[in-house]
Amino acid sequence: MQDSKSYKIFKTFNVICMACITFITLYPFIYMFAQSFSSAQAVINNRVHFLPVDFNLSAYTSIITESRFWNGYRNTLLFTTTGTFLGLFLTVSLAYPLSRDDFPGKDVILKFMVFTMFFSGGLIPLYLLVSNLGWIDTIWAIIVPNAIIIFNVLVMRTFFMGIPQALIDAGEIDGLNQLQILSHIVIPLSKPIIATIGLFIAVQIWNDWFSALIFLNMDDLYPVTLFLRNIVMGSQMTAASGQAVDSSAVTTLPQTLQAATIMLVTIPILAVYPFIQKYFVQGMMIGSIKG
Amino acid sequence: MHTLNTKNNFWRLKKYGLLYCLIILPIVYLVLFKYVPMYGIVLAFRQHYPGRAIFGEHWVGLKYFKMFLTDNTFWKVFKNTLLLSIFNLIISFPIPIIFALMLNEIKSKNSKKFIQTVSYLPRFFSTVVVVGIIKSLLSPSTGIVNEVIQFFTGDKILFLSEPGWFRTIYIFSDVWQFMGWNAILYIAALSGIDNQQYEAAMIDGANRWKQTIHITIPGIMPTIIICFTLAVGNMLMIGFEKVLLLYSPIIYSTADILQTFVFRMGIDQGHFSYSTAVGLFQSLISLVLLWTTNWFARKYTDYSLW
Amino acid sequence: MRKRNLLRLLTAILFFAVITPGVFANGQKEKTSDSEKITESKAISNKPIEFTMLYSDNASYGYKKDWITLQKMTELTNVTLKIQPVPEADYTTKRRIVLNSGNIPDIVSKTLASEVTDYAASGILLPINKYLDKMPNLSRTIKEFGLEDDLRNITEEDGNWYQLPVRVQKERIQNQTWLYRSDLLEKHNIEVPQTMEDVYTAAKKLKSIYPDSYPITNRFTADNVLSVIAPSFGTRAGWGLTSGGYWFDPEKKEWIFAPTSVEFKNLLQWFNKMLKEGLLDPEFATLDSNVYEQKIMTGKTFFMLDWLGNEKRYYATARKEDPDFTITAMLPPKGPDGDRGVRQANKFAMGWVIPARVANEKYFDRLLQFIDWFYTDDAVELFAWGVEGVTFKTDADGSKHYLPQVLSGEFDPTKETGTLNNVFNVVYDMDAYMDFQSKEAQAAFKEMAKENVVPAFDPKLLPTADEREEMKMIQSSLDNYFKQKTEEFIFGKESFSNWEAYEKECQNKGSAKLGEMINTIWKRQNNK
Repeated sequence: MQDSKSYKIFKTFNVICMACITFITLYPFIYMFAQSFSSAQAVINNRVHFLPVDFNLSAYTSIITESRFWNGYRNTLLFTTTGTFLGLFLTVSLAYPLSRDDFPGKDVILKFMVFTMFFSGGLIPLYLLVSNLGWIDTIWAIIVPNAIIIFNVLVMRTFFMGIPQALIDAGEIDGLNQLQILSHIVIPLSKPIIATIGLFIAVQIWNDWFSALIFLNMDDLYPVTLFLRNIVMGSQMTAASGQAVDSSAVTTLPQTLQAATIMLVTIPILAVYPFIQKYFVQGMMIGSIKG
Repeated sequence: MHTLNTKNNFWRLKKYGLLYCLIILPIVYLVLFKYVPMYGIVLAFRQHYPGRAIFGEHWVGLKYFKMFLTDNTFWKVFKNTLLLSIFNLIISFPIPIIFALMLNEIKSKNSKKFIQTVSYLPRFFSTVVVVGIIKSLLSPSTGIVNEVIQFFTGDKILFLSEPGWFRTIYIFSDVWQFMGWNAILYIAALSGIDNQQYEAAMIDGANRWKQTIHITIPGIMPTIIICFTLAVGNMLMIGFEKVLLLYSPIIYSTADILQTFVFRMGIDQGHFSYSTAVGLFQSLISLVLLWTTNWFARKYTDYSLW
Repeated sequence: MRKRNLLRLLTAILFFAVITPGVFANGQKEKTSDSEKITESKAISNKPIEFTMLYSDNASYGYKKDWITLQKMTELTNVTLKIQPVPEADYTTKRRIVLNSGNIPDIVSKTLASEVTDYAASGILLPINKYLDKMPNLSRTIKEFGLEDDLRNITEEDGNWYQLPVRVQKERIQNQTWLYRSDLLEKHNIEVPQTMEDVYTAAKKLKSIYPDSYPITNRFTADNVLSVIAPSFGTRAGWGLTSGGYWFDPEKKEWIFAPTSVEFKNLLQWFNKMLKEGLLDPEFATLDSNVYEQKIMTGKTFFMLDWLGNEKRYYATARKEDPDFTITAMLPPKGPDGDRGVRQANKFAMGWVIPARVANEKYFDRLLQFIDWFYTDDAVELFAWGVEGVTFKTDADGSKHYLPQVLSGEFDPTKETGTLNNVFNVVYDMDAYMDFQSKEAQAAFKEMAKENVVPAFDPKLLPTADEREEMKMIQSSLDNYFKQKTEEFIFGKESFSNWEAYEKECQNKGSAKLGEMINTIWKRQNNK
């Protein structure tokens, strides 16, 4: 197969572009990685650029010896796994019926759903609701109130709508009921989108510190992100919000420690993506089923 | 005719009975966690004193709406919000699509995976960290950007204290942070395109560019339209924390947005009624924006939310 | 159709479940039965008892359940504190949720006076002053430390105060103060500045020696540096202005609109001059802590408006590169009218609040007793000095001193033992505080006390709820305007020749109207 000349030029340009993008998105990460293994003086004197200077592990040892850190990690893992399954289940069960053209009530439910994207009663009513359900200081307060993100539902529905009607009709002729069609035909065909939305949900829960701040009182259940936030945020937020900063807020943790915490909290969730990519194989399903 | 229609409806209800069982749980969820707490909206129409009755003391009608609708500062801030949202939409929306398409042209599977993984790294930095990076890059004393500028022009720019730079800084950092992440959806959609279509096109002698125009882009069009409609609906929801950490009074003229304005207003008082009213106003505009976009989408394309 | 009705019913049930009363009272369950009598012993209770506390958790000394001071406290009082730690960065948000939802623990630590006012009227907080007879140690502290004036500042319209004074100190001290690189000034034979003009000359000289430095810098927005320097110019600025630009001049005994005063103009002109000549860091309004501290530790800045004690942290890193690196406190320089000043301070830095509901709990008396315990000598020793042998030693003459490893910074007593913790250290021990400081700092503090450089906060205004709402509206648009202009004047984006136009615009934004309101309220409350 011969590529045209202009396509060759494009390809070169493309490679350069991608290299630039890779660099500017990767560099801060490398920089922080290097910082986390360097000495405090090296960081302060701007001597760290790509590689650790005065290599040492003190930042990491001081974090991993904290029991709260590990406890937080365990909680985050628990929230993320259970929350992702719950979220995916609810998202699919809402998105699939809405993707069927002749599903009665589809339009009403869609509008009913989209409305909630824009109107909310604020934090206090939600807090009172969760508190009345007796969910304060439980995992439910973290994974349930944000279980369905309407954006995800709409995206998943769009994907479902792209599945050829012929395949569904064939299933009906074969005598499958509607749930069987979903589980035997639609879901196997929708692995890329399920993986993508699963990732979206997982990342959202992984990064969510706010629910924990609001709904949890005891630190046994705190996710690790709350720990991270406290280390990185310090008092920047207080000052930015216009409040006077007091003496207790002015001590800043060493940058090496901040960097190490960011590494420890970010790397696990980053590692999830390559596993999901295997579902992104071009033209994987629709073609293969037709053939 | 009428009876037939009812019969048809009945038949459809029966056919989808199982799907109703499926959808009932998410609907209960929506009612419970989205609609029940909505009673909080009454605050926008009620006099509220901090610490006293949570849902206000008595009805005041549109008092709070009048209060901000007649406030000059509010309109300035609203204009900032609108401008920032529009610029952000124009720039941040297409870039992930272009990125996904360009990435699609990379032939080596491993580099593709690598670039993709790396490009979404910045998504995982919290806002404080991103703002920290921005500040150190743009710093006149230590920042690389100013070193380059000084090398060429001999001058330095105080990026964070120049009202004219704020939007650029905000939007470009957003692009940097979310480009790879937002591209994931398009990459997933790209993988849904049937390979046979490309094969057929190649037999017809279509070059890569034509294939992109005629197969790839139509293939991801539904995703693009849905995302665009939602992006328009959400455009007023600007990353509030980032603005709060980036701005200072000297750049209020461009950087002060609705959220920061309301936040400053309520910081030492739980000024709930006022902020609920502003929030409601913002929600209404968002809903109208979404509705309009969806209307256009339905009219001029094959895809729409409903 | 039936389904829709079902849905409606469900909604209705849920709705009522949510808004029924009783919701707001579901606080803590009772913890112990109250059968035993309170004994004469110092312990609060014979049986172990537990109280809950909302706690602002600072990452630099993250909360640990097994801090030795907390164990010692339990030993002495038989009380365990069940701490609900909240990350400091988001403490305000959490505190507001807790207070608004009515789900309040026994003690809410670290509250701000302005916020308490909001909740006082609602009756969800306990008026502390009504229970003073049950808290002898608190009463004694108030008298001994002369807290009456400052307590008047937190007294609400109903004549009650709802906040326990915490971090109480005998003298009005402010530990955010002027610090300077004493080693460099000495090395280059520069005298310690006495006036703002001296600061200018000293900075000028330092700049000529270190051209790539900015002698003065700042973090936490312009509000921070302005609030520290303004009192020397005989005015208030930044965080020092909390009432829409108005402050109370204790000498003239009247409320003054600062942003258009001559003193304020002088202040801005000084800043403008410093900035124009490269003596003030052009990033002073936007720096974050990381870069700010980097500039200090690498010798890129020489004058700081920082919290005393931070220099020890800087030493740990900076002295590895430059063994002479020394930071010392100095007396705030005099402004054009000969005033010296720093940011305002109360005799107590923050507060604790107690929910009103505890008055009905069986453990109420014991809770009061426990709170009162924090004002005893035992508690002061424990939370200011720590534990003997671990953090301090007693000399033959009976005076206490921190152990050398504590003073040198090798052993962080706050992080390791929980002493000197901002939440628990209810009464400040001046001796303990001074033991930590260098000789120069001690001298500076004595001098500052003598010259009375720490202004008190403005007296409290008592507007009605409606007045407050109206004031808030004027304030926010005024604040927006003059804060923006303040920075524009400093950066030279607005010329001082336009000062009159600026004055006029402040008027348009309602400065006069606000002043009228403040004066009316002030007169009304003084005639009471």
